[in-house]
Amino acid sequence: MPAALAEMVEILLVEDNPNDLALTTRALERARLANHIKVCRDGAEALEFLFATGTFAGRDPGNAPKVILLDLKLPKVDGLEVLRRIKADPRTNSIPVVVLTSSQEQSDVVESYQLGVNSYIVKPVNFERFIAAVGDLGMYWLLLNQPPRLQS
Amino acid sequence: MLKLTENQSPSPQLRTQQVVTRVLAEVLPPTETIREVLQSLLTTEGWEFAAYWEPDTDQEFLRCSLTQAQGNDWDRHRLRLQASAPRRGEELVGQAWSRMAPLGETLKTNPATFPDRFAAQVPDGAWAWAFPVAHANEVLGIIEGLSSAPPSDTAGPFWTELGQVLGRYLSRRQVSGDSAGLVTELERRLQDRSEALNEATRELESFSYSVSHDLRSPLRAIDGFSQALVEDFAAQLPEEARRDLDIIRAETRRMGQLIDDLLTFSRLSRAPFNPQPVDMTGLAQSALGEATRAHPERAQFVRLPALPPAHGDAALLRQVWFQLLTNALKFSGRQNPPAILIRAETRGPQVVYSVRDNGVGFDMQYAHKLFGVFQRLHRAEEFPGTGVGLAITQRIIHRHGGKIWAEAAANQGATFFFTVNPGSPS
Repeated sequence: MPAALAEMVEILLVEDNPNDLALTTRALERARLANHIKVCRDGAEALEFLFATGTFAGRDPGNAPKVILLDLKLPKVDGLEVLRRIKADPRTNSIPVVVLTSSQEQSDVVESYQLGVNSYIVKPVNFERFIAAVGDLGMYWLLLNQPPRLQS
Repeated sequence: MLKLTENQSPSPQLRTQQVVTRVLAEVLPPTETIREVLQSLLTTEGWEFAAYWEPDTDQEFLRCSLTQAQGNDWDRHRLRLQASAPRRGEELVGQAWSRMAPLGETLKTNPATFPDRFAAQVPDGAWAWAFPVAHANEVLGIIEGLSSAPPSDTAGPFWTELGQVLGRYLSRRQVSGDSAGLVTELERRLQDRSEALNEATRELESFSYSVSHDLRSPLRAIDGFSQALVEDFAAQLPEEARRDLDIIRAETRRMGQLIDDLLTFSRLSRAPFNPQPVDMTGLAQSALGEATRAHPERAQFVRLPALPPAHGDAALLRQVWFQLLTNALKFSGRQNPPAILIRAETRGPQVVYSVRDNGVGFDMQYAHKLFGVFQRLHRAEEFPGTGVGLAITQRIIHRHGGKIWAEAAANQGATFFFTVNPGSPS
């Protein structure tokens, strides 16, 4: 169904910084991965989207993204909390989550992995390397990785 | 009054000795020690009642600080004892104090000076005893007791000896008690300090977290949008505009590098520190491998003999070698051929490691700037770098308690020396 196709979300991008958002989108476009992106601008919105609550109450939660790109420093609910809630819920815990952040802090890396993150990427300052990193991880999680079939 | 040299069986004294020895070995608080000693006199010597008297701070009179008794009949006396304060020479205890000798008497031998505190309670023929607990001519206290048994002939020397043993023990305890108080005070202050330090460290951590996260993200935007400009408007951009954008991007990346280096520097103080024996030859070799990764052929210019081992954190010391070798390779890169010499020299108890190069060197008048953060002695176009490497190196060496210094002359090479462990006080 074309309607369902339009609703299909392959990448959930959770990013509050408009410039980082533009650059990440640009990088995904370059890698031809930008067709089914849903952007959430804070942690609360991301959780509402994933669990089909609040403004996303009518959404089918079984229509899960193939990968979640998650910034850590987010307004309202921060990235680590979003990650914890995703990995604690059987409806969402098998969705791959890639933390995409400026933070090189070991404590963030360690905590993310303890919470079950699938990848942790530090955004490089160098834009070419940033594009390469986003392209690689999109390629890996959307095309190479084989996720389990989710029951709705 | 009677000097105690009468005849009696020594066995109660032996028992007393054994019990007192055991009490002293337990290292109780002084008050408890005395209570135990008094109690043992009741059981081994058959005393009915025992009291401990202490001189007041002005050494004018005695105060009864502890009593032990067989049964409850002595409660009334206890109160009377606590109310009385005999001066030097007054009563039996006051006389034992002024004479610094054990004394004993009975109602019969000397009814006049027999402590009338006891008179109502004791049968005729009962003996009262008093002996000083003293050390180095200072009377710490008087032990007083009441016994219905007649004295033994060794009682005098025995009480003298017991008083001295107790006196020595108590004065030693007093000294160590004082120092225990001092230690507690020092520990408290140390704890205050380390809490303040932890607080400062936490602040620093949140600071470097912000630096890590918040300062990098605008840089990424500057770099990214400059690149976007070049890509999207290449046709409209004159050559000069592109050159300017290249400069913007290069500087942005340099600032990114500066931030990363600064973070590395600030993380050093939080890095785990695991001192252990370290093979310095292996460490220098591995650091050399990394320093010449981009140009492996340059390793041939480095002479690395066997080095004595050190005691320190291997990961951190490897960073020291890496930094010094990277610098030596960088600043001698234009020589033909470059020559880098690693050495270790034993000076007294210390091993001084050094890295010498035949590079551009520097003027010694700027040597004090060498180890400062972001301090550079060469222009960035000549030799790239952020000026953090030697600051990191110095911090690592200082964390080990060692020293680092350099000798150089402009265009005559430089030698960096370091020690890993604190030197002898000399």
